[in-house]
Amino acid sequence: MNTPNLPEEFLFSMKNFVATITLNRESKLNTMTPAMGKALLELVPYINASNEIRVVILTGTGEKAFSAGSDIKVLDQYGSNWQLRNRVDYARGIWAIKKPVISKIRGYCIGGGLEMALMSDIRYASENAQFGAGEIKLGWHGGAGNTQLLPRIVSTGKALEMLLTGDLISAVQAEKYGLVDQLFTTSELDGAVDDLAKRISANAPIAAQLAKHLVRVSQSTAVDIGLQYENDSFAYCFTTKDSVEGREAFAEKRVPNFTGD
Amino acid sequence: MSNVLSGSVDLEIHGNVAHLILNRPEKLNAMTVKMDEQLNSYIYELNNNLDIRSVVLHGKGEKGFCAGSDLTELDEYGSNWEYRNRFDRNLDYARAIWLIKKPVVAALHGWVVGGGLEMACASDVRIGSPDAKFQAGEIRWGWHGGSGQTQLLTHTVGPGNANLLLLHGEKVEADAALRMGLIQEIVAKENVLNRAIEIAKSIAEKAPIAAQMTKHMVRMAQNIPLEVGLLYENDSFSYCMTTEDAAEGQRAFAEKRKPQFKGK
Repeated sequence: MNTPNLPEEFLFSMKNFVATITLNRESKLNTMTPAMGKALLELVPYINASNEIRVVILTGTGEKAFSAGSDIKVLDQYGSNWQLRNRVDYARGIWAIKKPVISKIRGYCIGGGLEMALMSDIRYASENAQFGAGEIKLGWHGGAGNTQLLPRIVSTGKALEMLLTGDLISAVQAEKYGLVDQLFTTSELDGAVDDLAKRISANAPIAAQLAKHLVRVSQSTAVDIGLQYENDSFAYCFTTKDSVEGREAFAEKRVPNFTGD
Repeated sequence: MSNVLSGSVDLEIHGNVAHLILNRPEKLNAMTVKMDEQLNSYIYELNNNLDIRSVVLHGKGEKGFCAGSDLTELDEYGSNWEYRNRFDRNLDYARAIWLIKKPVVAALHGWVVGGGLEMACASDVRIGSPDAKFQAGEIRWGWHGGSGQTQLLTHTVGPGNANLLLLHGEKVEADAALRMGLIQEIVAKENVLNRAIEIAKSIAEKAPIAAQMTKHMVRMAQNIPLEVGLLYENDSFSYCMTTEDAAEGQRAFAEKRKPQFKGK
């Protein structure tokens, strides 16, 4: 597959098995347009298919915002209400990525921006980050995960506090809630995310992708079924070349060199 | 990718009905990677073109609807892991049918085998000819279907019938398929496509939002606890009642005329 053509509101780069998607609309708090959503969805099959990508970092340009969600001014570009309902949704795009996704969050992470962060697997943020599900203040609730994913990540009460008030919470509060997995100073954040991505990408890609998959399964199925699915996936892992390499490296007391086979 | 193999999947739009045609009759419409890619490339159009309100799926030629994947070409999907991940790069033909949000009517004749049966089960309504034969034969080669065979077949025909097809691996004839609910009607072979088109046209005359919501809610019924499904259905119903088409439906009923739906 070829890299899709992306609009300038998206920066996409790949290096050392790590792909970085940067929402690049700084003057508009990295808000999303329908065209950006469609472009993101076209990028996803490429990310999923590429053996050169083992981890994805999602971030926004600048200090002010990760993303403030949908650009409300261009909401009508989705078309009729029915077409809005059937939209190509950018947060669902993040959800469709099968490789581990790390959100690197500075500044505002609001509305659909929060949904993209929730659809990611690990959230690292800087001290200036602020989080909110502000849709309720405008007369609706989130449509791409805020009501469904937030209570799976923070407590039900905290989720409803955010969803019903629409108020912002600080990075410190977000870390306390478990919404942010680790907090860093603004200057430390890039290094911490790069280091995390590097450590994940050094592990066997098939096992990593299956681990992500099974954690998702654990959130959507009965535990007894999940345990059986896990065991079948575990057995599958042992058919991979990387599992052979892992055992050899362990015996030889060296660092394994995984190829994704 | 291989480019020596014949065949295509064709998309034709007739009025408000899209026709998806498996077009490799000399090989029982066995699916190649190229055909798989073609079919997947139509899904965005099928879901987003407001003029398309329903879909008919059928296979060309006398012998059958589809024999599933062309087993001589499976390596084209890549390594075992890459093949496993075909859903994630929009490369699975039965999954493609499943991803269509508009109602899909399948016209089934002759052999409906393997991935062909998965495409049929991923459709919403299935019409069969008397010579239709259904087979989940993967087990004979050392695996089971991976694009819905064990899951969709069970939802469609129940566990006993599904296990018979999946474990025995032998064909089931049209009359038995009708009894199991695998097909909804049997019509003469020369009429099977026309009957499927007739049903698709009838669906296309209904309010598109309500029709798509109905398909969605029937899927939900197979997925979620009943109590949640009943609440979801009521919210969907309330949404339908806000549409212009619902207002048109009520007016047409009062005026004793046929409603003219716009999909709004």
